[in-house]
Amino acid sequence: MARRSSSSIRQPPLAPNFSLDPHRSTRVFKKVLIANRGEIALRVIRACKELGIKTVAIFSEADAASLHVRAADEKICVGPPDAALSYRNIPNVLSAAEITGADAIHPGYGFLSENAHFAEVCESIGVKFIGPTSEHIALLGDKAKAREIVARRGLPVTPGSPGELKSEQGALEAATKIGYPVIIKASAGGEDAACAS
Amino acid sequence: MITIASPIVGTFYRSPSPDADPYVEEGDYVKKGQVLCIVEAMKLMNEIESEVDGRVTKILAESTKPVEYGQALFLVDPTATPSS
Repeated sequence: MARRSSSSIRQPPLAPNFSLDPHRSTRVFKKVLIANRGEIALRVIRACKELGIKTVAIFSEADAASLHVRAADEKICVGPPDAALSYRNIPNVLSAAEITGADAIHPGYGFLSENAHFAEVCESIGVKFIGPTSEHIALLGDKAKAREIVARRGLPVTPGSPGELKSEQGALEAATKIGYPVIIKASAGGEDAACAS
Repeated sequence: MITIASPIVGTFYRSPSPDADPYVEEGDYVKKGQVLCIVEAMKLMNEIESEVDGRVTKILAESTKPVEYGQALFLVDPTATPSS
């Protein structure tokens, strides 16, 4: 007979002052601006609602009718449809936090989430960037450098090339040495990946 | 009718300082490039200029209140002439 074992499921430890009960939790933030859109923003808005935190949605002119805009308590248009001029527009996003009195910004993922400069400016104006410190983003945003840093501290890393690959020849040599399948990643960004077996 | 919209997110001010007179009033004739208001963002005072010559027919935002990107601030009638 199968015995139920609870030790096989390891729960990550919760932060000391964190409780799932919204009435008991330490409410660090009163109002969070979500610097993202779509289902990413919705996920953060829902979590904020569960914790009793007010939310501010930002949107481009193309997304005025989006669900995340309707789900938030407040909404601010931050630019034209081009994401570079709206969701990635640091002055407008920060100004939106300032005029709505948001005390924290959740970047979601993509957009400004791995922008060390943005995290740094948030820190300097007293708006909490919900994520790593600007220092850590700068250190770990580059995948090749990140591997080097953790390896130097004696942490295990997956087999890989010693650093950035400069040529096709170098890539082939590294792949032969590692053994297939291999994944080729850009050192920054996350949208391009190739897998060969 | 031309709508002058806010090009940035910030706080709308009709005058250069709290004690000063407003840049423009409804009914004023303005020249292209003339400053109509300030939108302050992150302590930076951004002067917003008229895109056309014409008469300010309507001021749509309230001084000291926040404005978002693309929010209409002024209506300017470009067919108006200084004497009319």
